[in-house]
Amino acid sequence: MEELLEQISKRHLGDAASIIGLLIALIGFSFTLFGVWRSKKAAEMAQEEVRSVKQAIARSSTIADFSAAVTTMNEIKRLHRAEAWVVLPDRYAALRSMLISIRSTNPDLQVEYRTAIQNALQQFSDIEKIVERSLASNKPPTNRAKLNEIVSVQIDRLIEILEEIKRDIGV
Amino acid sequence: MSDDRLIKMIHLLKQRTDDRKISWEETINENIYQSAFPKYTIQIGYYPNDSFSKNIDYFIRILDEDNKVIEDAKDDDLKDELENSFEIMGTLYRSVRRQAMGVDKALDSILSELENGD
Repeated sequence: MEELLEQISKRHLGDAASIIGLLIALIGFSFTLFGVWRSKKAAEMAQEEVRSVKQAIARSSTIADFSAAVTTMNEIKRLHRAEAWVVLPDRYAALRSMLISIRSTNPDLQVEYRTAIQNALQQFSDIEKIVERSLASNKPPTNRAKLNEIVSVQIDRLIEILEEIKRDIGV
Repeated sequence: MSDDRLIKMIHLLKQRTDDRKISWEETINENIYQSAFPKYTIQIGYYPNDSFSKNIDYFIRILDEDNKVIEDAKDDDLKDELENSFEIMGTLYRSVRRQAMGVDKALDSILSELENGD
């Protein structure tokens, strides 16, 4: 035993063992660091995946909301033609709620789309006032022909936006 | 009494309309045209006026996101800060109307057809 210890001391095997130990420790530490980095990367990728799924859901919900607004506008056109003035204020209110909801649930909506929504909201607000006034005075609105002309412009614009959003997400 | 920024806005609206950088459209109210921005809408138009000096009043109106009128100024309200307010508002109104009705587009298209027919 003593002879063995003497040989180790003579050949500086203790130093070599320390160096080898240090190298093994460094290699082990590198593997640990690599493992941590991989876990972090995987967590980031998972987060990114969740974010893109959420965005896809939000976009499909926006598409559904825009489609519903277009359907309601077409219904409003039919009601204008039928001169169903009494039921129209409810439809205007429903449409306005839809447009406000699209605007508030999509704060990152393009400026152009937000402008189109603001424009439509104002047009329907003015139309609603005229129809309400006509109901109060018991006379039909005087500019009936123009009503659907304005609604059609809003429908065309919303359809354009809808198609652009669909194109953006590859639907 | 009007705000200087409103006067600046009137000049910019005229310039941008002439440069076709703002789009205007008809509204349900006759002689009123509007241009929307993401949070506000501007309406320009005129009302009849029964006075002896003039028979119409031009106006500019700003409406917010809730479609409430937050500013409404007639040419008479602007005359202290805007010299010839009636003429300037009238010129703006006519530019806006031309744009909303697509007069410039129609003229460009017809002229181009006529020139190509040579």
